[in-house]
Amino acid sequence: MSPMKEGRLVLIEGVEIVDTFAEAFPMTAARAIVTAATPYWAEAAGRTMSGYATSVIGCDAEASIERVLLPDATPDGRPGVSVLLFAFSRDALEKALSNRVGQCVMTCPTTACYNGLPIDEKSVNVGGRLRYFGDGYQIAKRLDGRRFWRIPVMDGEFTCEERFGTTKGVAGGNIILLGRDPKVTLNATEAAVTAMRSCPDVILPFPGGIARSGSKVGSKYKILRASTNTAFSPMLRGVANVELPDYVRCVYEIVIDGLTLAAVERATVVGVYAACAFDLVQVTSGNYGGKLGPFHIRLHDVIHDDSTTSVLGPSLR
Amino acid sequence: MMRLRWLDRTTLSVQMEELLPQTIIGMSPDEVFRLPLWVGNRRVPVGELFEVTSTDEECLTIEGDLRHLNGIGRKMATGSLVVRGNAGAHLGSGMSGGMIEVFGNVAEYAGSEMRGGFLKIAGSAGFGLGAAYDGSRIGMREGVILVQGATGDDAGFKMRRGLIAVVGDVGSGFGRSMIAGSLFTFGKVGHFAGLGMKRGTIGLLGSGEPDLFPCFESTGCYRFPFLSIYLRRLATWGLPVSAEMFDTKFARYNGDLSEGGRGEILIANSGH
Repeated sequence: MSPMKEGRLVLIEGVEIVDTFAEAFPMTAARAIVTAATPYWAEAAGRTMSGYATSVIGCDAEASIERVLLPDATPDGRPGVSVLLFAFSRDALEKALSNRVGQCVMTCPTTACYNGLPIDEKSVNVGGRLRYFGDGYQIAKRLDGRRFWRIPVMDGEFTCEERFGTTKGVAGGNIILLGRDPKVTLNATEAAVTAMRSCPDVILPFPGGIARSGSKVGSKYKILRASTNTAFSPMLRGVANVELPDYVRCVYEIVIDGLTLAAVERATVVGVYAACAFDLVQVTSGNYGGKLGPFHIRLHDVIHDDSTTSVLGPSLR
Repeated sequence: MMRLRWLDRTTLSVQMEELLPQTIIGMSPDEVFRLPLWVGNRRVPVGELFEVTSTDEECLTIEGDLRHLNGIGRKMATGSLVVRGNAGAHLGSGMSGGMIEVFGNVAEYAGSEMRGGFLKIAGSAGFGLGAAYDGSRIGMREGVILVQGATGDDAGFKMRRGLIAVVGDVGSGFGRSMIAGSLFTFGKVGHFAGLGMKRGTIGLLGSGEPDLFPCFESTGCYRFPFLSIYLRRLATWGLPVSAEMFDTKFARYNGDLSEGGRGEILIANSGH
């Protein structure tokens, strides 16, 4: 499957790739490694920790499970998951991370939580804030410059690393899939999500990786910062400025947050190719005219860029 | 750097603390040759005691039968020191950085009151490994000590922070009056382990029933995530951590209750 370029028209498997760009912006990111006695409890903690974290429009952070980790890939040799969290500032991230680890991981049977990024002066304090729950019976352990807090709980102890590294990530990457048939469009989006989740260093923070209520900036109601994306809402034809081809009946968006711009671009390419295996009309991206975010991920550029498309397996190319 | 081969010309005690990687760095063999060391009650040039040669290695190497040499690497702050042969007392005591590797046994008070750095002993260690000196309030404050052989009594006495791991058996008073830090042994442990300890962890990773002081309260058996992190690190340092240890439950005893009971002794394979 290789893109065909006809003038400015780019097709993959007959699906038009619109000549536009996703507009992404910087956010502060952290990676938490959550482990537990069994994969079930590790995933339960990871999912709970990344609940209500779809968009910073209404949540304190954007978060999701990045990947499942085998025991040999975790600090304590137990099954685990890695969770990426994104927030607008380091302070906001520290607060969100501490609250989420405290309320969702520490409370979950058998879990422990570790930092998953390099530590530097921009690290945030997590275990050092949660340790007070131990009411004076907490124990600190320091090894190789890393400090772990052991907090007594009812099934034994909760181990949490004191400091978590942060990095400037890229949030708000996206692809938007336009289809005729809602079922086919959803299948295509699901396939794209599945493929994109194999990419490292990215998360898709919306439910199941998919957003159906894409938004635009502002609203007729002054209290709202964002409102429904009228341009992509097929039911508003004739009453609002809908920018969809006539035969498009269903639109889904996949939002991508990544630790690096390259990771977001890589996931974009993987998602586009996976989606184009289905009977879609267009694949496009959302932006704000280039005024909001400094990162512009042009669909035509990234799908022609060998350095990003090289991650595709033969079946996807 | 330099290689110093002991010429075995005296049986008097030689004080070695002035001969450190940080003090001879940049010196020529002649300059090192003229450095004075205390031998008994007089100063003797290094050249009368050692054969001094320059090497391409990054480390200072001292070799021979070094049992009369006390304070090798004492208060060392940086660099690398290799000792080939059995060494005297106070090796690496008070060191704050760098690495000392000993291919032989060491006498008493090795790594005592250590403040940082890495001390690796391929043989056994005598009394007071990483301990406080008599009258001192605090023993080892930071750093890592690994011993492939056995140790004498009072290893980790009044230890405040850091890590000591012993592959062989340990004498009595292992972690006695410990204030904090981590002590591990893969061998048998002597009497009164942890007696008077305030906080800290003593991990008994070997088999056998230790003779615990009555002031330790059993709390049941657990798997400790932090312990797996330590075991993995010990394995990378070449200690004999078996795969089963990661799945082993450890019996935890709180103590010494007469000192608040905030320390712990963890016992593997105990069947408790």
